[in-house]
Amino acid sequence: MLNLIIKDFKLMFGGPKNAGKRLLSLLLKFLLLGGLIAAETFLFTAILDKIGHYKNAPRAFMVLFLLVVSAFMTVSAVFQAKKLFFDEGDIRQLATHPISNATQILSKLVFLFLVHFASSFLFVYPLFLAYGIMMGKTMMFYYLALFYPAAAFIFEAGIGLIFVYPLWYVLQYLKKHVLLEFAVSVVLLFLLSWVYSEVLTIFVGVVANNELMTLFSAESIAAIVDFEQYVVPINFLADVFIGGKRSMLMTYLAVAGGVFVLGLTVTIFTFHRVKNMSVDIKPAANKRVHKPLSVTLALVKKELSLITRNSDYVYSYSGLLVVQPLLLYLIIMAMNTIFSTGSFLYYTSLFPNFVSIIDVFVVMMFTVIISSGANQYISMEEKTIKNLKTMPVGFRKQIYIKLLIPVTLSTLSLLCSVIVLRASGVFSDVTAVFAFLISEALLLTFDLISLGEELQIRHQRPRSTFLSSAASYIIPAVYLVISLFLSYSGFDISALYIAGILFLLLIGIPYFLVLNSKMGKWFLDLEAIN
Amino acid sequence: MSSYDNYELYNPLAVSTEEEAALAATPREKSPTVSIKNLHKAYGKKQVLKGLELDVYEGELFGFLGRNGIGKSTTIDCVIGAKRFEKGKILVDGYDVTTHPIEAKFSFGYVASEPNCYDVMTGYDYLEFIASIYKISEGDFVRNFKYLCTRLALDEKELLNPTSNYSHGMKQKLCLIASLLHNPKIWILDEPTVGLDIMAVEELKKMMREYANHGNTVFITSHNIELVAKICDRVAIVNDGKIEKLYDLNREPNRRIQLPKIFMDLYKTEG
Repeated sequence: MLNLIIKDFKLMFGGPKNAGKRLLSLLLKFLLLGGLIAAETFLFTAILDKIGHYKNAPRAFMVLFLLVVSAFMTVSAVFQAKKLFFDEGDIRQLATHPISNATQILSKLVFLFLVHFASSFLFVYPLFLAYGIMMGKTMMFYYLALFYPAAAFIFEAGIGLIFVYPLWYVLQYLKKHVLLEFAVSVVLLFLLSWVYSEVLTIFVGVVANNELMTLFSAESIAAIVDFEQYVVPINFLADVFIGGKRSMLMTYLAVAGGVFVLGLTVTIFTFHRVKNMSVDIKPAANKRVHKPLSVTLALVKKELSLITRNSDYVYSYSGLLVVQPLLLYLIIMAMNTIFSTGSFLYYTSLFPNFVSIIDVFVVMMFTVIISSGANQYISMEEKTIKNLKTMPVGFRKQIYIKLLIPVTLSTLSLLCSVIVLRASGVFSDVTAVFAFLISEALLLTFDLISLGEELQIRHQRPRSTFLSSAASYIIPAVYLVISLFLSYSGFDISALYIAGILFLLLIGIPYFLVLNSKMGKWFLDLEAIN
Repeated sequence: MSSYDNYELYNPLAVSTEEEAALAATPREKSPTVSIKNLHKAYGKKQVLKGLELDVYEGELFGFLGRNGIGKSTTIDCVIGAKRFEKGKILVDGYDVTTHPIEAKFSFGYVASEPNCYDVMTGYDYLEFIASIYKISEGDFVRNFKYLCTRLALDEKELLNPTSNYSHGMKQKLCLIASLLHNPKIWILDEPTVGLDIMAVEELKKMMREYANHGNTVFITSHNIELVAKICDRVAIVNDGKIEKLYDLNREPNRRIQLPKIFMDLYKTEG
């Protein structure tokens, strides 16, 4: 059992093999988590300070925060349970060992509990502590925080286990239907953008118009207090842990226990089903007739298949390309509002064209960061590198087609974004034209550098991304600093933009010449994985 | 009725009477289809090939043997244009692989020891891709595809599924089909029997023989010395970066039986 739990731990948190990378990844995760917890604690204590004198308000806000944590933990439980119960590689590995299904399921449940408890505790503990301090019962809430995650697990994991199989099934289905998967990813990203825009509107209002107090009017607080009664079963838990009504524990256990038993039953049944499922071979209904394509078209089709039929690419690149115009519009509009109002106005007035320079900077960053989702030109070939080398097609043609497709898609998305920003009046004509030209120059430079890095992958080591990272972060930052300095010195905005383009061409053109001359050698030295 | 049914079963491996007469000539009277001269290849400071010389002729089934890490796959990789080499010359179907790589690549079909098809494509998509790259006409594609599927007992319907669902053996069969779609003059196979079931191995042996009999060249490496001894016309054993032994098994039939012992003795002496 312990070995199975350790195996699941490695499966879930294995990550990169390289010790340095693992440490860096751990550090980043730690920082992200720390930031989230710090933000949560700061927000919660700030709200408690403001609404502390309203009757029942602190408890209602505590329940609201616990609800958010619970929702987050439930979603997280669904994905963790999917990885634990329906990982094909894991199922295949375990199938050859004499381990009963009951032991496998039990070990996975124990692991799910441990991970869930630890994560939930990290978020809940600061809330309990802050609430305890406010109520003058620090010690009591300190101890209660130890038990709350365990109690909440029953309900959250129960819901997670109910939805884990439908999620797995839907993802499997989407994997087989590329267009549908793409459409779903776009809808999801649009929904996220909408939620983001709503949060952004509130944030902009708070920052630009100092509207914080309007969020906590007597009416809104009364609505939140009233809302608490509908938050089943978190309100039962709140009665037990915050209200001190221990009798409600039975009610909670009846509800949450029922959900957990249902979830467990569904998972046990579906785990057996998936485990025994042979590879589902369902031939398509119609045979097709081979229509010979030209070599170029065949290579383009292959590259498009590699990009679009890979789920990671669909969500991290193709989907983001579609929502890039909307995201850029939301962010730039919000930023412009902030920089054009309140106390910011004084600082920005020191730099003529400050807003335009920042806007172009944001477009550059977005373009290059989204593009980085599709710059694994060679790595994505994996074992098929040998195919590249043995097919009777010149290496330049193959490589430039690999480069051309993401560049074209990113350029189209960039063009749409700039048109949207111009049409909506966020950008002037000059800003729109130069935002496109500078971002395009950066995109080309970045993609060429990435291609050079990809062609130099050796000994199956991960690609060195130093230069491309520098291109994606340092070049825009240098552009920003120099532009602001020149703007402060009174230079014309068009001259600044032209200087920016020349600066990028000065980096991009020499790199292209070097890359083009060494491409043949680098290509032949690529190692085919056997 | 599917569109394939318009095509009769066509055997690209069949031998005509005129061809049989041409094949009666011994290898040395023919021109080499693969010619390796003074091949040197190093990995860093480690010199793997030290002036390897080899001629492989049309109409012969040639076995290339050697223990692990001795340079068999490196030699093949240099021949197929997958690796650079420091010194020497390689001609494939008369084309220098460094100066005319595209023409050379059109003349051979290659099967790697590990099947390397695209997981995101269906088997059929992969073969269509290969057909487009080799500029194979629709008629030739359908004929060869249907014939090779039949020979290798690969269900055409299964080719409509993504290759990620295939077993290792199925992927290997798919790669064997892909390597022959364009009827190459030279068929290069690096450990082709790995993962294939016994029926497929037997069929592959027959196909290789027929392919060579058809006037083409079959160049094979395998750890299965019995297989090589049984089917090959000539074999070479590579050692210390050069060809150490070269036998014509048709002229010296007793070598077929002795081959495993010769192989063992050679490397035993090397320690």
